[in-house]
Amino acid sequence: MMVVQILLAFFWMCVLPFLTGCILTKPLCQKGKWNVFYLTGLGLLMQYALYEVLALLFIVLDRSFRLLSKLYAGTGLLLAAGGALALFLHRKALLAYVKESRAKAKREKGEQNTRMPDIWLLAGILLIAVQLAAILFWATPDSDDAFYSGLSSMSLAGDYVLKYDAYNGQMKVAISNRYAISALPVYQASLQLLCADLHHLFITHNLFPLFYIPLAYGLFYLVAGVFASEDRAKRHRFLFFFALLHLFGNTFVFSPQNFLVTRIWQGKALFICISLPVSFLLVHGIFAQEKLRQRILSGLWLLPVLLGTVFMGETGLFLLPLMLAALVLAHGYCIKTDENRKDRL
Amino acid sequence: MAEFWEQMKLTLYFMRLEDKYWGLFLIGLFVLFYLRRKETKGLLIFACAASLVCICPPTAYGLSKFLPAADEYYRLWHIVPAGVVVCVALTLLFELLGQDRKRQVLFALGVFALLFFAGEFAYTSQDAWNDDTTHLGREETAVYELLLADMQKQGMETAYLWGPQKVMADSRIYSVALRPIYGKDIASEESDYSNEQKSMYQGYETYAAPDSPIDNKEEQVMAIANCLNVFPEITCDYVVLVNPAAQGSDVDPVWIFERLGYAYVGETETFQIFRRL
Repeated sequence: MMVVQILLAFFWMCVLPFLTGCILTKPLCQKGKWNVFYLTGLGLLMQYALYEVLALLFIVLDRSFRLLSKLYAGTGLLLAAGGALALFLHRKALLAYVKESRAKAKREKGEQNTRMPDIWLLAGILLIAVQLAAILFWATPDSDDAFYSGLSSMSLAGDYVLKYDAYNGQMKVAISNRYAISALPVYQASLQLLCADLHHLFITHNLFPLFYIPLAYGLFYLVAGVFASEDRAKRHRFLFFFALLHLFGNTFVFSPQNFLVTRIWQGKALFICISLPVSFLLVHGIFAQEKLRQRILSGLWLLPVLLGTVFMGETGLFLLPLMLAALVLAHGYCIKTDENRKDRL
Repeated sequence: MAEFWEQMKLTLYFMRLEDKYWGLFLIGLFVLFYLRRKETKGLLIFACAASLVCICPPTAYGLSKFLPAADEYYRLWHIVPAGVVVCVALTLLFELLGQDRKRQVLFALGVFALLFFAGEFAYTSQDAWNDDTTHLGREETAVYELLLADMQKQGMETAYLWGPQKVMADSRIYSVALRPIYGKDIASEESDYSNEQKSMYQGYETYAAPDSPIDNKEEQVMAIANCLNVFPEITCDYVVLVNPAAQGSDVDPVWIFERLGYAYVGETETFQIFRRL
């Protein structure tokens, strides 16, 4: 039974977001940017945005949590079906892209005159595996976690959406607006229903790290491709150093490293590990467009990203616009000073 | 304005706690600037722009008006890609070593040593290591099972509970039938609680504080008993105590709580449970 539940969780937490992200198959294949990590990250934020809209509606109308979960399951599947259809329609372009990527990788390996996988990539993957093992087998509970998980338990038991404050155990005090806009704990409770009653604590404390820590590293690996170098060997070294930095990154309880490694199931951590790198990549894609109209159209994808970030917590609501402003400033400066901009920043 | 300065002071305090991390970030920026690679120009400018957005007084002042918690201004700094800057700088420095494997390995070992001695292992960040897959402590789980079994015997659907902070906090995760008489928010949202509840919280917390100069083994029991005695209007169906005997004390909570109108329900290795009659 447990295996079926975990497979269901894998479907809702990984396959569904990936298929949702596949809506962008055609433009990303054309630009040579089609990537499983990027599509999953983007699709995840689109799914979160959908849940956020539904949850806000249900809070205002004071409707049932179980109905919200069913409605999300239906609409989420529809969204993913749209992505699957796009994937099917553009399969030829995708196959051509995959072939080209493989040939490029072979060429690079041939230039390096080696058949062995890069040692730094292996070392980076090993460090990530060590982190995953540590988080799965030796948990690191956080006292705030009782609040997040408490909200999930309350939704499941009371069949309501973010009504009472879990910090106040008596279920008498209405939840404050800052927590009411973040539907992540309710989503985690919905996952329990969608995964054949797999306990939400198991989902958050075990499956969130298992699925999303590799996703976060994959996204930062892509960010390195944008900000540092597209050369694979350099990116492999980046991944190694990045994993090493995170292994010893507990410089402070609020450090991004601490968030990624020890509590990726919380909204602020998901914001840093998933939303930020996806936003980096998305803004880079927007500025890589040659025409203003294309940029504006690509810019529309920022809306689900912003909504998906609000879903993670109110911190993202003011942080993401500030980060986007800084990114736009950097891109603007680069474009102005770099005559031969091409596809780079 | 006072709030603004408070947030600035707090942020500076947090940044000083993370001095090694921000030190590495500044070194990383310097490396990117010094090597002047075309491909890393975007990162350098973005990191500087993001830092400027964070430092910028109008941003900070504007946010201090809207941020609900004083420590949240510090979180603004998460948009600065410090980790990315540090690792890209390390990658660039690595490149300067050329193809010599020995130098490469030495460099990697040097970075490992630097992070090992200057940083801290990420898994030591929280309260405790726990080998339970759901992260609920075994002792706490045993307490909840005892409580729910007793509630079923008594025909109670819900029950108000007092216990040490972790027992109360995690009870909500285990079952919503267990309702802690106050939550973590009592420290910040005082208006949501009665004076009696606040007195109870303060009475216990004085002795529960890890840095309390008072020997807190017996006083915790006495403080909570005293609060329940002075404020009988507090609805507290169950009391969970850290067993003083487990801490080497000879205080007998059963004797004390029976006189307060509570019945002994049972105990685990660490905790004793009482129900109001």
